[in-house]
Amino acid sequence: MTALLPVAQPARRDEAPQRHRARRRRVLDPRRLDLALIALVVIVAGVVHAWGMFRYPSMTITDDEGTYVAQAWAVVNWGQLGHYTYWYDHPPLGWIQIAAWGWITDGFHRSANAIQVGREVMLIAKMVAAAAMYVLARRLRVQPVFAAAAVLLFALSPLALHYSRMVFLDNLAVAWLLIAFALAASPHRRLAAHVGAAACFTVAVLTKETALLLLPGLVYQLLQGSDPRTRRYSATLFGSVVLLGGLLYPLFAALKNELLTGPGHVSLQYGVSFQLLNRVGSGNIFSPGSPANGVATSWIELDWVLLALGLIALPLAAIFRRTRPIAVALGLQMALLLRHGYLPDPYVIAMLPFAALVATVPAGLLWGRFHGRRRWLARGPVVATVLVVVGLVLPAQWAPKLDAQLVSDPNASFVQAQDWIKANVPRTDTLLVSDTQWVDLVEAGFAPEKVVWYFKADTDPEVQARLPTAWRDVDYVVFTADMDKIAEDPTADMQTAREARRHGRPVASFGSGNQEITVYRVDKNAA
Amino acid sequence: MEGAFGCRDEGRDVVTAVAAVLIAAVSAALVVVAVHALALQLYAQWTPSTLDGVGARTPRPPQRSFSLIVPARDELGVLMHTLRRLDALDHPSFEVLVVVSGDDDEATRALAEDAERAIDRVRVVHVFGPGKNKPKALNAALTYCAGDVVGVIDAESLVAPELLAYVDSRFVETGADIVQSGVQLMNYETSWWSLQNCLEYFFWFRSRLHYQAARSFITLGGNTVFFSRAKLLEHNGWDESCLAEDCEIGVRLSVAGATTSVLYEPSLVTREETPSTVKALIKQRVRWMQGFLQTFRKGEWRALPTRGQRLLAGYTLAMPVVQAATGVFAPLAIVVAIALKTPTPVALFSFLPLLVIIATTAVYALVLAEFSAMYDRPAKLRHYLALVLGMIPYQLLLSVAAVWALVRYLRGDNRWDKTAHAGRHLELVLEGAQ
Repeated sequence: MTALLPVAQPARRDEAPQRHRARRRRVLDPRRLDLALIALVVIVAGVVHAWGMFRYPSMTITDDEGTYVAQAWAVVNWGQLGHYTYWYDHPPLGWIQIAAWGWITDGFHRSANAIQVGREVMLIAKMVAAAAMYVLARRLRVQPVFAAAAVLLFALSPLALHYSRMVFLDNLAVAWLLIAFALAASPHRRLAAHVGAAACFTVAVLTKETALLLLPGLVYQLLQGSDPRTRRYSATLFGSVVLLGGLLYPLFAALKNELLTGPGHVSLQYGVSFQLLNRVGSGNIFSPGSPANGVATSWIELDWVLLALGLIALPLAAIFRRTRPIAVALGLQMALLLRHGYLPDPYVIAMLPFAALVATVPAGLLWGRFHGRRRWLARGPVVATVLVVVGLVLPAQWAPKLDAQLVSDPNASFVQAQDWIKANVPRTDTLLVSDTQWVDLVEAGFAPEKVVWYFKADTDPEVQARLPTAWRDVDYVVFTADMDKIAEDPTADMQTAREARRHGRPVASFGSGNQEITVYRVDKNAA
Repeated sequence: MEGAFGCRDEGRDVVTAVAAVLIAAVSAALVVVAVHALALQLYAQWTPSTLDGVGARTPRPPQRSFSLIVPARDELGVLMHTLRRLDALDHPSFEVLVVVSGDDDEATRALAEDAERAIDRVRVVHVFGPGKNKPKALNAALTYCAGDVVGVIDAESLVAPELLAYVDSRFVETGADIVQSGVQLMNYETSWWSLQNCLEYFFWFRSRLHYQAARSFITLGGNTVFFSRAKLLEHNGWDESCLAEDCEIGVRLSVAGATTSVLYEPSLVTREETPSTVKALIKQRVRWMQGFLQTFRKGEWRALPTRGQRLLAGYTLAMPVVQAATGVFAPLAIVVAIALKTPTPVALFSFLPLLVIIATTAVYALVLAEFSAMYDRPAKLRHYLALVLGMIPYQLLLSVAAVWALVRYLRGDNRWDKTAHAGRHLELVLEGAQ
């Protein structure tokens, strides 16, 4: 029988003479405690995540949510990998998972807007991640309380909550990664578990390719968790599964003749080289004004506590042998922040669960480390840190932010804008919108060719063929605050949208500041 | 407009659709078979504790007595050497019974009688009549056996001197009714297919049989296998009509609730060598596969108590035929999928069996390294290359044997072909008299 958690079964005793002791022992049964705590942390994580998840964060912060959901919609409704030509920017397994949920639950019909379907999947990913984190922590042989603390830190951090609610592929990948780590730490050192870890890792990479960053940490965990005599087999099977499973992606491209760059078709080669080479670097994370600095500042504004705790505890995690793999996992990701490469906002997502684990597991190991008087030399600092963090820092830092995240409704303007468009724009008109709105408008009756993701009007030859006179073929253009920001960059691919706005007049506006959405009607006769 | 999956919007070609479904189903089945086979090959590695259970522990003082049956037919050069070696086994109480034909094969009979005169422990048992085969020989000898344990030793095998002591201990420690000790083909350097053959035995005796023993359903090997005599007599010995009498008796006794313990220790394995030619290998396989089919058909395995055991039993007995198909069908599925322009997901799926075979090859290479280290016979690069290139051709060989076995089984052709061994310079393949 597979043991999920490395707990020993308590000895059974005769009922009659020791009934009282036996009863007490059953209540404190380690196995039951684990099950109760897993249930507790998963429920807490789920409830905190779900409360208000359709309202906060706003769905118009970035186009990405709409894009992934639209691609999932296309998988379900058109049997295609995207609503526009799939160009291998990311492996498709992530939105295929969203599509599966949408298909099974008829999500795109029953939901008020399509991104909600994606956010439901994010909720599932959060609960799975919470359970996997707990199992991993317990398999690192730390007390149940500390394992639960790790999950709670992750579940309640405003930074984690903000990004994990949004439909990012990273959230799905993180769930698979945590399962992989938990399997690699199999207490019985089962070969089957190691193979499972490889499979989950491959799925994670095919969901979001940046999961590869976690490979060193995972391999380290695997090697540590294997017996020297069977290690070669674990390693060989792990390598085989990852390599051969990963091979399916280029194989897929090759079967469609889209592996290498060539005239008239997209290619995997181009997609990969774009991601690796063509992205503009975000500069030094420490120099004010650089994009990297901006990204990091926005993270810290949401929550600095979790990342700080992870960073501070990193040396301690490196000291204990058992926690070195997760230290590598976190440390490598943090170290790469120092590169001047492209730094996207969701990069932080994969750091957070490992920060939570690094913050709590070594502390738990320290707690149980010594015996006698020396014990309190180690336990003292742990107690002090916990008191300071839980008593002072969290109430000041997290409570107000969480309150806002659970209760506020920055998404209201988006909902209103969509309603206005559905009520006031003729279905035969052509609109330029952000991808956030695409699926809902198509579901509302607009023809898919008439609802154009603004970005594609300047980059996709098929779309450009449908708009021969560019902005003059457009009847309405909708600008979100995010699009406004992008438009400030003269090199951004949004000529058509800019021209359309320049030749249009605002007919409706919703929200303000970062939530502002404005609908413009294009005057085709303008000069 | 062509969708991303490569199928036309204007109506589907019915043939392509049917082909797609078939290919997907066949690929799925192939993946299941290949993964299951790989998992069983690695049973010894499943956890450190299964690895511990495979080998031998320090033997206790001997408690049982042994009767070793050595069926001999056309063993000219090998027999005396084997009997002398058996005589030298390190155990206080055992006897050796050589079984020879009483009415033909004079040469072997003479040799056996010489041995009987020369070595105290050896006695000769004669078998008469038409349709001689190994199970008949074993049953004939069984009536003369006096030991607590009856062991079957093939005449051409090299038995380790301390084997009986360890087997004795196993009987005592586990209370098992049957102990199967490992048999290992050693000559992996001889040819590309002898390499595959050796690894096959390694997987079988080091992993797969242990898996079966743990589930109380075991298709025994026919060499260095030891039975409690009482159990044998209780079930009337071997089935004389079956071509794989070892497999059959294992099934029959398992169904009756007998427990088996399997022992694989490199220093204790019985060393054998591969058949001398490909033809001989195929003939040997035909016999085994046909024997498995006979046992399957006989249906005793259906009486196993749990559904899991029945599933394992049915699958194990049908498996040689099924497995041989994997190596052939896997590349075929890919070729068909691409040629018929099936939808991309189906074509992609058809690659999965091949990917599993590639992973299996990587594991086999690892096992070759372990094998050569274990037996101190270093493997060179060309052996690894031969291993990789020989994976699918070997499956083809087995497929040929599987088809032949199926044909023979359906025609009711149960003649017994004895396998020739290159230990002698004569290659005689005798078919039992009609």
